[in-house]
Amino acid sequence: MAEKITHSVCVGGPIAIHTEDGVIRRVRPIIFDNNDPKGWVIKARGKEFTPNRKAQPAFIALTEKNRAYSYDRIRYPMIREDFVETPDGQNRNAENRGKSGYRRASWDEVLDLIAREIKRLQAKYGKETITACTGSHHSWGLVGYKLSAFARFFRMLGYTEIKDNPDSWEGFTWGAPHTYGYYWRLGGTEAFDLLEDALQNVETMIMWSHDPDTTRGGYAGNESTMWRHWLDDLGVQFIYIDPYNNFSSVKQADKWFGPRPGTDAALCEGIAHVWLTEGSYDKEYIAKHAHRFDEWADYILGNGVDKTPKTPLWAERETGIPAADIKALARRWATTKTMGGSGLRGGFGGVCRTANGTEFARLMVQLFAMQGMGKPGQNIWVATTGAPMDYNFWFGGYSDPLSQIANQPIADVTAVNSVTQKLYRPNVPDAILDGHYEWYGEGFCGGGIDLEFTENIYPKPGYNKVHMFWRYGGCFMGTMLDTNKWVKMYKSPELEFVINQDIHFHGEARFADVILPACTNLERYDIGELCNSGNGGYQSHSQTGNSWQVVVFQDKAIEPLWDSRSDYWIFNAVAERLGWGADFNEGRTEIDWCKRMWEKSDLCERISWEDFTKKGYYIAPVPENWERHPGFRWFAEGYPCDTPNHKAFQEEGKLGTFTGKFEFVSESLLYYAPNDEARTPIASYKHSWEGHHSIKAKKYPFHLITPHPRFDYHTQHNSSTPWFWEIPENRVYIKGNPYLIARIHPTKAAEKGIKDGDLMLLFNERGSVLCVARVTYRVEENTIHAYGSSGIYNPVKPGETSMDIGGCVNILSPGKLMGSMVPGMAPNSTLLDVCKYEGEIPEGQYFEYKLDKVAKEADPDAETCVEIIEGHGFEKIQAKVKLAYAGKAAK
Amino acid sequence: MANKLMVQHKFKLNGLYKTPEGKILKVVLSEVYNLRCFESVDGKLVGPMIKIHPESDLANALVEV
Repeated sequence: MAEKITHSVCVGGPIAIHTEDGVIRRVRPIIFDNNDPKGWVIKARGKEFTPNRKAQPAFIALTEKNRAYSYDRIRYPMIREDFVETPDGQNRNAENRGKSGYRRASWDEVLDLIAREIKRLQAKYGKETITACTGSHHSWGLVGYKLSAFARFFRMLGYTEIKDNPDSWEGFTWGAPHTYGYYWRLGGTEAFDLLEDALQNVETMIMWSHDPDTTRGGYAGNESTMWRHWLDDLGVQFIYIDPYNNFSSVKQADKWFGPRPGTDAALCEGIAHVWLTEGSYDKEYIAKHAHRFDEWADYILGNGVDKTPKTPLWAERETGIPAADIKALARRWATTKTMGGSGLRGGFGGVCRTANGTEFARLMVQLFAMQGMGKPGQNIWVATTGAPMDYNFWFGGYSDPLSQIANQPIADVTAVNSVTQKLYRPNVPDAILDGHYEWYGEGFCGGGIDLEFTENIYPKPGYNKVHMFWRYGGCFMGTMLDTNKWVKMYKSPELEFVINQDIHFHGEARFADVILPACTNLERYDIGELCNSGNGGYQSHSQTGNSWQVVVFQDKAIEPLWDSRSDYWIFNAVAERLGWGADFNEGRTEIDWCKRMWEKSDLCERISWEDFTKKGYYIAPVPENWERHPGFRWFAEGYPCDTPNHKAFQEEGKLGTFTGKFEFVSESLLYYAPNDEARTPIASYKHSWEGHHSIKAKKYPFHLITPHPRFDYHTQHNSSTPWFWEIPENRVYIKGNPYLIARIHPTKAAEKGIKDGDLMLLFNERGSVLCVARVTYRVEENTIHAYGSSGIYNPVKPGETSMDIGGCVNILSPGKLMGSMVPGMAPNSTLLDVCKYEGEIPEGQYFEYKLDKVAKEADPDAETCVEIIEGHGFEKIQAKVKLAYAGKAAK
Repeated sequence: MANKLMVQHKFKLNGLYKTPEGKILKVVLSEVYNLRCFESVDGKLVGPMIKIHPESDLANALVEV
């Protein structure tokens, strides 16, 4: 019984996996050994700070064992029972999608079917007839990730690309660049070396719509948790602003403010009013670096067109925060060295996903500018990024075009999509169902402010509509808008053929005609690094969210379970059937592609391939006296930009706005969108199109907020990890179904006759979701809080837009985008009502029987879903694998 | 602290540059710390990544193609 230790990276971070006889025994963080480099040391206020000698993944990463053997693993290729391969694509019982069961198929059968359908559809309608889309995340690794194998396959095939919206930071992408540039960072700021700056200088932290212990700085695991403890130890005051007294706040906040959802921009204006009337802002900085500040100040002081001074009392009426508290907050901010921002990297957060998201983002940047952004201890920084790094070492991160197998230099030939027609992710159902859709922008491309305003139309003139959809990973019922639309779309015969490729039977998989079982990244080879987004990717060098830069050889810990295969294997197999397999794979295996990543980066200079694959990881050391380039200091002090950015105007000391300064009246909006009502040239608080001023609020009096989840990474983990369902703050398992927790204030709960632990129905005109009530003072009185991104979607009438018991609260969110010219989504501008649920309690999850049937067809002794969740199915699976492993070893 | 290197003004991202030996380099990454290039042969990026300090003799000798 030999134990094997391998390494991998998942969305929660790097891990070590112990296996015995072909089964996973345990998963743990990587502990560094004596041959690994020393950690950096920051000296501040008479103390020294250095990170622990281990990688610190998020806790979700440590449940990969449970997730690998999960009850909802897609074990075999499957074909919908009533799917008929008609020659013209019609009469395929599309209306039964979501309702019908499945039968097991062989890989040959499904691959042949897919190849035939692709050929038929592209011959009939052109290449653009196929569209495909990934979830926000699937499984980690530069070969298998969504931007690599998926992109290579579909670009070579030719398809209608679906442009992603920046669903985690909408307001920052569509708003902040009009105030301070940084469109190439998708509206986010730069955080280089700001951890050291903060430890040395900061006195107050403003954590606005920010729950770092939950969202973990994005892909950075829990690496930054210790930093916030250090700041606490130094006596730094933490102020949390969030309608929900979130997990980080209850642990750390010196003061919590709970504004009414969607009114944060009003709070910004109230703070600005205090500073303007008391003269407590950096006038010299503003005189030098701000554009048309006085016009904005006039607006705040009541001398603008609305003649309304934005006093703290005015802000109190909108936000519900007492005027005296607003004044105290403003004064503390102005009189102490203050850093802060919103969401997981300073420019994210649920506050950006409201109707007012762009205006909040712009106003928040303006507030930090008023206090001298970039000076020591004064910056947008939220204690999740900005650790020391060695920028002279380069290894490509996941979104870096230089480290994707779709592109040179990793591939010999870059894959180029021959189709220019596009779709926009939040509105795919509208386009399919209506046959026509128009929108602005190119998603979050980061290419320039002008690209926010390109006009797009579907179908593109001269192109045909889409008739085939290949979904890859995740569940949009849990993350997109008014998501019952997706149900209606899938049942439309406009989609002649639907494929779903996933590891687990997420909510969308059951709408497919053909389901392809992908394996986890513990069952395949890959290479990856936690958190690094390199040049040209999202927020370049954002690996500074980690204390350690760890590159991992993702060795195969176990063989693919059941009939699952790696995503790369699946795409390669289809390419071969289409006759261009050799072009797709360029003669390389998955491990060969991993080696390409090694040889085309600095990694090959630091460690041999043999040593790297044997050890399993490499840690890039930070030199003792590393080059320090604090974010934004160059602008504050007026020297050419010395941070790793990529714009010539920064070398002239300018920002990426039209004027090169902070624009308090946006010249880019005046130029491109002077009549945009959602995003005015002067950023201002506006009543939400779905908020407490709406007529609709009389019928639906609560605001729903659906922050990024604590027990998930988008739709991953929680849905397939029953271990998490034992956490009372997450889900409650009742009669075979894991109900999501929704939080309500005690006063409102009493009015509704709801007690803690009751089943509570959340509803509005768009749908209904059944949750378990958590009655708590941690939530603002008008707010219902439930985490978004449920991967579980369980309508009580499968295939119909009926009550969901899986927790897909995005079903309730408005389908409307932020504005007619602002293509961002605003799920936190949702009104709804709640009631105590007194109907019959459903039995089970409404889908297990489909998986059980297929599993029993393949193996009469197969473990059922419920046996895996509740009984010994998990161990039984491992015992069978072990037996097969022993059999192979004997041969 | 301030780094006065004018990398963005001197080298274009994705631009092609000829070395004194006649090799054609494509700049794939252009930052204050280093230029990162690959040799371009018949449109293919071959060999390992080449790191060039912006103040080095080689950087000053590069000629845009």
